[in-house]
Amino acid sequence: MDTVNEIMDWVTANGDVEASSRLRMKVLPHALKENPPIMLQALQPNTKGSPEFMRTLRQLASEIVGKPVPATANQ
Amino acid sequence: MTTQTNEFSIPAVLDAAHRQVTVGTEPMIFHCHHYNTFLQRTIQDADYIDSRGFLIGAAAEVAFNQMMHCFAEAGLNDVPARKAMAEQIYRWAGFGRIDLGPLDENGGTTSTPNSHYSMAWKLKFGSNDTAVDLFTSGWLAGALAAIYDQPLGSYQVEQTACTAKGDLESAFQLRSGEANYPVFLSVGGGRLTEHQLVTPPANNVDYDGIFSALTSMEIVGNDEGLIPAFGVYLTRHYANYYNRISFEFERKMTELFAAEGVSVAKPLLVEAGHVCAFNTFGGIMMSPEWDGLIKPTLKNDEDWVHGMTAAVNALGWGRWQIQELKKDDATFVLHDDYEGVGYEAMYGKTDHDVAYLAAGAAAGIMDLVYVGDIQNRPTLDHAFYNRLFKSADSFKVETISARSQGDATTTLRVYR
Repeated sequence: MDTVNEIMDWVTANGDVEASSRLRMKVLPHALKENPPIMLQALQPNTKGSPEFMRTLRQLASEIVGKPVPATANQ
Repeated sequence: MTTQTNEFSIPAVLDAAHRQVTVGTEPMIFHCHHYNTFLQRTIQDADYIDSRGFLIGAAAEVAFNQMMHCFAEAGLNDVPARKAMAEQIYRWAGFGRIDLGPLDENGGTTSTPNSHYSMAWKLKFGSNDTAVDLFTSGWLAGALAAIYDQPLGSYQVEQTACTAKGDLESAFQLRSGEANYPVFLSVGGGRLTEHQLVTPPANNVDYDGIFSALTSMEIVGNDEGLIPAFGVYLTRHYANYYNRISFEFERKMTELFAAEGVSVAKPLLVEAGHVCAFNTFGGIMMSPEWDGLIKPTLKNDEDWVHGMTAAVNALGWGRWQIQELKKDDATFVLHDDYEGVGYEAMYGKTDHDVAYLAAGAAAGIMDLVYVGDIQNRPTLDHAFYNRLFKSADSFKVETISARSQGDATTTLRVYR
């Protein structure tokens, strides 16, 4: 999973109803520090962040869902 | 009106015309442990803002204002009598049991095995690394200031043990000194309006009878100071507490991130309303009280929506009416909804609707009836919650008018 959208979709599918909203809440300050800022309410299918941001996003997603974010979308 | 039972003598005032109950000028409303903990977790999820302060300060605000008024109205001047009344209100409201005996004008430490927030957090989310009962922390600081005729903000407070952490009791330490939380001044009941009633669609529900029956029920804290009812733990909580913590949260998010902050926070505040509807409304609609009092009159799905809306009127949330209702579309008109009234009183007019709880709750009623088939008594568990609110059929909400924007009512269209 290389894009923000893919990870958000995985969280929506695997987490509780509120999981993707919680992820947005937790990652918001990191998203707005990206250059250019990542606007979470206007994600494009191919939106990616810096490697550090993507690491943070994956870590928070894993914490919220309670299992590791898989490497590929169909895992 | 004083709520007089075998155990309690609470100066509760029912203003039936506005669907509001106050104790010591503070509006008191019903909410369950699912909502209380979900809302607090939502706020604390944003760990980049300092929410601890306002979560405590909001509780100090309402407790101080309420106790000042209650003591004055009852003519209580001696400390033991004031402490007894404060302990009684805390227990009556379902917050647990608290012993104010160990506290004096300099502060002190008190502990309890029965704290609603600590118990509820553990029940809903499991053990926590840190203490969670910020509400009781602030409540104690506010109540103690009122008991000793000190200004609000005269006590520092820390929770030093918490049953949600695995401690045997929840403990709170207070010290005389400058507050370690922001000091807010309570707005009391806010500005209420003369309700211009809409004509609801034809239905078989006795709104006034349900209101009268439910507001007469003795829903009060038990020996542990808890209110187990309808499959949840209820509290008779402070509307101004919910309003303060929700709106301070929103304001901090706006200060940091402008519109992006609100747009990220809003879905979770509305989700808290779904949580409330699913657990409390679902529990009510499957309760013996519902079966005995309301269900016999219900002839169709629309009556179920009306029946639950009639019950909402007894929660202290303001007057809820239905203006239009079909299986895919409904319009709820809210007179003096507590979020809109509170926002106006605390901050004035704003450019957006703030009735987050109401939006989630109104959608939740429609979801329970038309998607969740509550009529056939599903099991109200975590898996069902996820199925219901993840469903493509679940209802959305559009604000037609908002009290927080200066309109006479908050009007919500719920549709799919």
